[in-house]
Amino acid sequence: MTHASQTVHTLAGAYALDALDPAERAEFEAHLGECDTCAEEVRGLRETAARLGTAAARPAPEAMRARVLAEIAQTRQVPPHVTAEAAEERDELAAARGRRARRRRVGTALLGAAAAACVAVAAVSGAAAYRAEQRADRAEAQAARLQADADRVNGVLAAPDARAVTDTVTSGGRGTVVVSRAQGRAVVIMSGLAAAPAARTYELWLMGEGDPRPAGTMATASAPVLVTGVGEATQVGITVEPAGGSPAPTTRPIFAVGLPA
Amino acid sequence: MAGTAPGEGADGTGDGLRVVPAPHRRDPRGRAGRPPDALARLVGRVAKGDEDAFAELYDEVSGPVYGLVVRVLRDPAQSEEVAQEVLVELWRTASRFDPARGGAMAWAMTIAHRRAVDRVRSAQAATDREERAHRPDGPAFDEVTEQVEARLEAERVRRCLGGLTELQRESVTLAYYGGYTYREVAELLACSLGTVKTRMRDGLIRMRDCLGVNR
Repeated sequence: MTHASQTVHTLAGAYALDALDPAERAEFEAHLGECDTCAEEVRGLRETAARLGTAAARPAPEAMRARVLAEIAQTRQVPPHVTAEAAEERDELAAARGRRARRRRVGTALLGAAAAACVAVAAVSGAAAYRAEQRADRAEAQAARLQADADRVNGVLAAPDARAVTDTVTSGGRGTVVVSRAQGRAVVIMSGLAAAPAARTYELWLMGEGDPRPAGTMATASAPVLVTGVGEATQVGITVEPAGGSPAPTTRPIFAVGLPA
Repeated sequence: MAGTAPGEGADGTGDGLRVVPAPHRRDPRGRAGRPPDALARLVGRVAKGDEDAFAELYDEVSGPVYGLVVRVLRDPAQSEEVAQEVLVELWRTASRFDPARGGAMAWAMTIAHRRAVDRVRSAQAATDREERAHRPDGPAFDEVTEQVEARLEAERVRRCLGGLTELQRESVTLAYYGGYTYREVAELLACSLGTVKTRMRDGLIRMRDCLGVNR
């Protein structure tokens, strides 16, 4: 890996204290998936942080108990993680139609990898689920679409060969790219990136042998972006382009990061 | 993924982490409530949809959850809302609790802390304009914390915090109780990012050893 692996290790404390920004959290969780000792350390530090929490205990307002108990009585619980069985999951999704858009579960070692993306994806899926419940049929098509996006993103994050790299953006902010060479896909997660200027868009590029290949555009930095067809690309870059994107970069990259082989 | 990245020791802890001895090892079960494994079993029952078990769980964790959320958010009304969300979240996601990855209380507190911090960060622009007038963590804290064990636990944590260097203590408490990112903490303390990262980790490790946290 690039510089990520040299610095990421020191983030265990900040991670256990929830003091990382989303991109760094993603980077660190990807690292955790590869480093058992770090996972073990994080476990201990988490328990320790929790003790800081319990030390602040104070009686909850009386009225809250009844409200919570009433609310859970009508709140569906999420199913446990299961080992991926694609067919079974499809059946479940079909069964859930019209009731609830469900988040596909990924039960692999890299579960929770690139949490920023997971959080964003969860927000997308959660929002979809909520809407689907509220307005069943109308929201369903959209929910399904979001679901499919979320599944593909989760698929990359959960890939056994997923690797994460992070770098800064010259105009401010940071970006993390999680790549699965086996799937030929990558997920780009930006944090602290300003909205694109008027009539401009951010365009992603896959770079390597030959000319940079366009890999999609993004208007805002808030959601993870799925990049497909990674192939032999050795770098992912971002430039600012006229709205709609360009066939070839017309400005200098504001972000470029080498992809792990 | 086999192996680790180049430059990392196989044990991943090469850089002189564990320099701090553990002078005050304590039985981690000495804190409030039932023993950790009983709490984990309770969560197991909750995962199967047992509402009575949830009511028991509520009685065990609502105080710690509410207290932590108030500590971070300060505003009582907002805290109650967030604490309620957290408790419902515990019900909803009980099946995802994995005892192999930590204790049930830590699981609940992790969810509570994340929620509180998310609220702080998403509401940052709004709260920046407001004055943080409410300070319920003053003397009132000790008055309301009636349970003796909770008080002992608070005392123990306070004493262990007292064993940290000032920079470690400030880094840890600003992040955990203040809900700040380490970048914000570095700004507040006028330290480099690297220093703050290191202090947070060293501080937590020292706390861990002082509290005798099971690993």
